[in-house]
Amino acid sequence: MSVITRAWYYVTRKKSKSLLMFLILFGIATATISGMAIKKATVDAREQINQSINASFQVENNLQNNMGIGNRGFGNVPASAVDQIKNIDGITEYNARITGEADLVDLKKVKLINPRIQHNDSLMKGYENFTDLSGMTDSSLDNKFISGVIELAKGRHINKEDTQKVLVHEEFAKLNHLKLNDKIYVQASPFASMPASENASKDEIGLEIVGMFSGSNMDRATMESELVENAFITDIETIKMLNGYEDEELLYQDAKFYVNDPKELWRILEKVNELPIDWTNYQVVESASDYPALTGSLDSMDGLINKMLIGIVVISAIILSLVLAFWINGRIHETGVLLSLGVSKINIIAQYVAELLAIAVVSFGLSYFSGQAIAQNIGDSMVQQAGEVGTANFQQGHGGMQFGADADSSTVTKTLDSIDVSITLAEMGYVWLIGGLIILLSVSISSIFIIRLKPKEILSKMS
Amino acid sequence: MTILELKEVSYAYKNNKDKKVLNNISTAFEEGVFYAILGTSGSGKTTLLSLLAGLDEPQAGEVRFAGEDLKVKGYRNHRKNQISLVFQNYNLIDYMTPMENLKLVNKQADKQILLDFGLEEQDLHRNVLQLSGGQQQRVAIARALVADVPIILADEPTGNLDEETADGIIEVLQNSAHKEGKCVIVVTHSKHLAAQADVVFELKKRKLLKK
Repeated sequence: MSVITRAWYYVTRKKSKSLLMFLILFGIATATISGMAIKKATVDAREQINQSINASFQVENNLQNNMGIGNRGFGNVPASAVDQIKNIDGITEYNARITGEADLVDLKKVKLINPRIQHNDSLMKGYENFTDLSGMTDSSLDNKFISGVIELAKGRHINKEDTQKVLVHEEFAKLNHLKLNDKIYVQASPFASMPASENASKDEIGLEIVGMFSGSNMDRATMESELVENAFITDIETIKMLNGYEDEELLYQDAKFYVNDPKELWRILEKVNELPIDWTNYQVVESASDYPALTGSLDSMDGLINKMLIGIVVISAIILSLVLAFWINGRIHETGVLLSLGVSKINIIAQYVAELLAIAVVSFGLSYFSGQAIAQNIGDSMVQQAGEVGTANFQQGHGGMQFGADADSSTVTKTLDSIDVSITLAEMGYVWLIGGLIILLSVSISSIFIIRLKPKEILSKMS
Repeated sequence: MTILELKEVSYAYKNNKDKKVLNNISTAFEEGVFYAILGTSGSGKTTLLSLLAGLDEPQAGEVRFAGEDLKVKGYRNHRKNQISLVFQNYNLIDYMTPMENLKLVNKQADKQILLDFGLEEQDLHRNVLQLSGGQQQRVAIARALVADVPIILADEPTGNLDEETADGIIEVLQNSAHKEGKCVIVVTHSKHLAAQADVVFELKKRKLLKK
């Protein structure tokens, strides 16, 4: 009688033992496939993030030597520097930003509920309509959108051809009964930290809503103006009108440049550094460092998932070895009988392996469905844990400093908020490989005493 | 013709190597003869049977099949192709039917032998644990007979059976020796069984003595 036939008889007739083994293998397979799927999802997330952040760099003030302009220390990167850099071969896109300050006309801001710090309302008197406007050449390349802090929900992004266009938050639009293509009005504010030039517009400026975004603060806001719901993204021309800037005197907050190929980044950075720009006052920052908490949370996720996978394999091997040791020990009688009939030890152990593989076919197959059901939940839970660890590590690395809650600060403190876990044939293949190795290892360990003993010793144990 | 032979065989247990259980035994077993080996408990009967079955090896001397030391072709070869073992406690595979137990040793095994041994048709496809002790022992002996080997070794084959069933088993063993020309060696306490054997040995004081 062949090994396969004997194994089949055992599996189909020793139902309770087979069921127990099925449940153990099913548990091992589900845990392994979930771990593998989460690992893959983390790798994919990292690749996706790397693709967008590793292929860019930012030019900004060097705060050691250049504290910026105005009471609030705005960036003063000259337009001429941006023009020189954007023309370097290999740079495909850029987004230069400039911050403007204005008063909203006949508009309500979204109220801040439960602020981090309670303010004396009288101190904020006069600032009810005051707001920042973030002007940029291409909002689709802005860190807030790339990091996912905010997402374009309706309409389109701001581009460098735009004049008097704006993106507003959906909640702000709802509060003020605004829809796409409606206009909002702003005017120069007496509370602006930057003194406006003589050319600044004295009139109300109408801005057409070309897009709406969604999203919320990563942390509790201190002031109403920090709320993502009260952020306004506009074009460069609008800020120029508000402040009365001419093209040649335009000073940007910062500018971000994207390169064609991440491998070319070093070569391009060398060219940038060779440009006749005052590098004592300005600096180039690689974008990989723009999302420290995000990369930190990915690192934490990597660590968690690696520990989880090692734990699964080790614990599975131990549990399976122990159960198999009892199982095989409980089959000493059968082993002795088969040996007395001239069946070889290898043939008997092969039967045990065949039985486990038969059960594994079913349990590993079904683990595809159980893995689908639980992997996403486990992944979400790990993402949350990794995010907390990433944020804690990041803050610890900055001496426990509390970062702002506004949209731009949120890109710094943003962590991984979700991963898309799915199970593919590759994960199933890994489960078979890992599961098969665990089975072989466990059967080998558990079968040592059969290999070691002489047939008569086994028979004497059985009697 | 001599088929199985003990040549100056000595044996001691692993944990007490100084104390021999079998001492310098030399005996030959012939084809077509039904042998009984008597002995008190602890006299070494089962050890002797293990050596004849190739389940263990002697510390001194040789166990020979057809004049050749078992070591030459290997003990497993001896167990697989030259002997069949019948145990007191049947030792059937408990997740198989009687027919499947027979097919463990011979894929061509026919159900007729089980029917001849008094099993009903429906018994052939039941789990062996659902059979009575007597039925299980008959399946065990049937398994030994269908194995198509020249030697049958049995350890207390009737120990757990009633007298009527035991007599039936003894008759089957006798027929295997006398009609099929097999060498049948039975280890037993039973003087009743020994009385049916062609040759009776007694294991006494580490020696095998012909009675």
